[in-house]
Amino acid sequence: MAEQRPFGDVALAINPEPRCPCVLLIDTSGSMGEVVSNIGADTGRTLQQDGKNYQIVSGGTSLIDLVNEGLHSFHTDLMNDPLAAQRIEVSVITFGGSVQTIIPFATAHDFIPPKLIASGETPMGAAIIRAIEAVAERKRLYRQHGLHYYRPWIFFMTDGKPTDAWQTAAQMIRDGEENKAFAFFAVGIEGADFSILKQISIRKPLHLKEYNFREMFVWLSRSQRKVSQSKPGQENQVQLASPSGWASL
Amino acid sequence: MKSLPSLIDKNGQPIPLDRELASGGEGVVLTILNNNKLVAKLYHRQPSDQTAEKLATMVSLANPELLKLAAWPIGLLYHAQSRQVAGFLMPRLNEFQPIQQLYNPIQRLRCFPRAGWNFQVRAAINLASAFEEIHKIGCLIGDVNQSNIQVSIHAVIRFIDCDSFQVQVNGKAFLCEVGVAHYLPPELQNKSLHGLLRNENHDRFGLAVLIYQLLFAGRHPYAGVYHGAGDPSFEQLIADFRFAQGPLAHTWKMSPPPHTPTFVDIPPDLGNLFRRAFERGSEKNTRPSPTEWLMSLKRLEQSLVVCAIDTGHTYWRGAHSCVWCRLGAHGGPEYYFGVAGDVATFAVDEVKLHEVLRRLRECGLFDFRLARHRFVPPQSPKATPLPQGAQESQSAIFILTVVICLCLFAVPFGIIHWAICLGGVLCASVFGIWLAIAFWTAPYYWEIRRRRVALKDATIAFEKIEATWKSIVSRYQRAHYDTSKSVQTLITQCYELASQYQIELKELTIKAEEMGRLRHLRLHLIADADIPQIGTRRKQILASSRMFTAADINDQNVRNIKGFADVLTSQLLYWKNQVQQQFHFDPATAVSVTDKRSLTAKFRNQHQQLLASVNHEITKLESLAPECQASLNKLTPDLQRVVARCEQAEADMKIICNNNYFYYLSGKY
Repeated sequence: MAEQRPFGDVALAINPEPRCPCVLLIDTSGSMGEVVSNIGADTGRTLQQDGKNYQIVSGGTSLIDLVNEGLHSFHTDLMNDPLAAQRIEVSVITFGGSVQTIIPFATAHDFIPPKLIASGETPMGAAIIRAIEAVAERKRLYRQHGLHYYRPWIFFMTDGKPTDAWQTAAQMIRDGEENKAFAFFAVGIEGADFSILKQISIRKPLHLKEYNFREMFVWLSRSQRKVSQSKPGQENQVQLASPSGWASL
Repeated sequence: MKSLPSLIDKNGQPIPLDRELASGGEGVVLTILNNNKLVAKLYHRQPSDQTAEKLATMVSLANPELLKLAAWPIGLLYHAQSRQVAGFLMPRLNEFQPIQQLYNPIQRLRCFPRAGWNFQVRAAINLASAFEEIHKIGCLIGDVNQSNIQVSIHAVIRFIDCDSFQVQVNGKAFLCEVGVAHYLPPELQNKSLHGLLRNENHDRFGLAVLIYQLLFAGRHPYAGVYHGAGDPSFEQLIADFRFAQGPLAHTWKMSPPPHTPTFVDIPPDLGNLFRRAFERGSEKNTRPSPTEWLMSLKRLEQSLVVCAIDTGHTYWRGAHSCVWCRLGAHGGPEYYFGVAGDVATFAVDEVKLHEVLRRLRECGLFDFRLARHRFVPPQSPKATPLPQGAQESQSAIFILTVVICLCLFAVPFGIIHWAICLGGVLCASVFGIWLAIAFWTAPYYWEIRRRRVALKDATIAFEKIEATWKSIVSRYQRAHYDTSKSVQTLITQCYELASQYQIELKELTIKAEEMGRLRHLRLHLIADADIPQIGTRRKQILASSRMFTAADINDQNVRNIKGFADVLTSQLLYWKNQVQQQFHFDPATAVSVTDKRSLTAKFRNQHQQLLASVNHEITKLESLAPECQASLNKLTPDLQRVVARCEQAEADMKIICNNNYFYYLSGKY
């Protein structure tokens, strides 16, 4: 009798390219709704979100709008490189109130940039664990289908501090990095708790300059494109462009 | 932008450059003004003397045959002032695409929508013959990879980046010191290519990998399922000669990846060539030459047949059935979807679903009741005869009972004289004790007790088996319920695909319209527009707020600019509205055929997957009743034994009941 096969493996089978998985782990807590440019008129009302008080304004561009815009640039840049578009698989996991897998792993052709909405607290620890589990599961599927893969990236961005326990997650990151199971990158947006980020990430957390989300996402796409065309197993020798265009080091 | 340098050819004639075609790590390729036959490659850095000499040698080797299959250097280019080598001229390739676009199934459906397996076989033949030509003149491709080799819509092969070839002429060798891991043979993995003189056997590995990728749905020969310990890297698998196919693959712990063709789908002689190319020992100069590939591939081409079910499928006649249909039927992708040219729309496969529904109806819940009579032995059991002397003791007990009754009958006559009463009581007591003793010592009594116990034990044993029976049946009922429910869910999901497809198609159309409108708005520059009250100065203000085209205008953004109140804002919005009205959208042609096709392919694949799952589930459902029956059948010997025991005990009991007087007297056990 035929073995049960999980849904979605046709997409894996029809594309024989080696895969380069990348999880975008994005903070969508309430504070990401903060308006940072084109600020509209003050309505005089206030709102408590994510542990802080905010004034309500009539319009403008919030952090999450910038992230959404950045995701579009990320997708466009990937699509410009046909080979990378077939090799890079992106998954979007958000944490705002609860942890949600907004987009399961998909190649650029199947990736539709989502419209994220900010609300709720910052369950950072649970989100990191979810991302690590997703990466492990994806690797299992690759192996099952005889597909080769590059070391997965988990690209984590936050503007706050965890509202749940994050110590287990930090340990999992240390273990994963040690076994070369994945590479974890942390980016702190203005307001992020860098002392905790430093304890979570092995690599030095990057500080996003002036909400340069677009530049950050384009850098991410370019780096992934480079990795995806390196020799599998030697991706750590890839010379990545300096992130100094968008991050203060 | 950097201005283009002025270049001359070896005769001092100026070569006017036009525009950039492509840019790579070491140089750019540019078109030449008024010449569509040639292009120029220009190095970023001044080429070394070694490179210049290599190029000059290659130019001297150029012949019409070579130019038919490679972007071969045909003349050097020099800087007009310094007279130093700047690059070279080569034939221009039109309508060629990297071979990766042909072997990768997804890319092939996009770039070569009508190319079937036969097309890929032809490309493989042309590839082998191109390798043969290059090797013939003492050159090696060296850096064989997925994009250095290009293919046309007629399956014709061309080499590009020829300046990286290894060229060996008159005892002098110009090396190729680059390579891509997937196409490097095991003996060169993890080795430095610097200063390495490559041989034909190395090149033949690259050729074999590309032929394999063309024939095996784009898979790499070493990309199989690894069953060993650890998680070896790609290079490690290659370096260890872990070829995924062939009769011995299991000995090095490999198996072919799921949903791909295997060696049964290609002629054995071709399979042997692949084994000679990829298995251990191949490093000893045994890899098949291009000529050997040519012969085998040509034989394969002659024995290709078109599938009767889908004319987009071609397969090797010797395989007996269509490999592409087989993979599709087992939940694999539709590798050649739409190649036959059918309309790119998606519809639910009603025929298959009706078949599933029919099977579902036939799989009703079966009533497995335990019918005891089926296990009764064919000959009804003979009752065990009563023990000897039973009749005598029964008579004695009967007489004693009568005597006791008579004695007790005397008791009321105590009214006449008290002695009669006393005598009656005494006699009754004496005879009572006698009766009790006789009763307890009677073999008949013990026989009844024994038979009662036997009957009870038999009944308990039967009830135990009955409980096992019932638990097997209830397990069956539960599984039946769960499985039929999941079959129904899958069927519903199948039908839902149709409406989901419509929704996504509509989304595609809406997206196309949005993009079209945006493009249209962006074409209309504020600077060029004639808008009342918006003069040059105001246009400059708008431009400084990053508003250049109609697309940039919206109510909020304009109002945020100082000095733009209601009137000016409404003027701008009015203009934008007018521009918008000029936009015409045709939903019928808006979505590209490729997008439609890939959407359809996506749904077809999901549909296939659901059908495969539903098939699996319904087969499981069908097997439930026979499986339950089989487990119940295992109980038959026990049941027959126990039922026989029951019958025997009942018969034994019955015969005693027929002599019922004593039976009742002995009371219930």
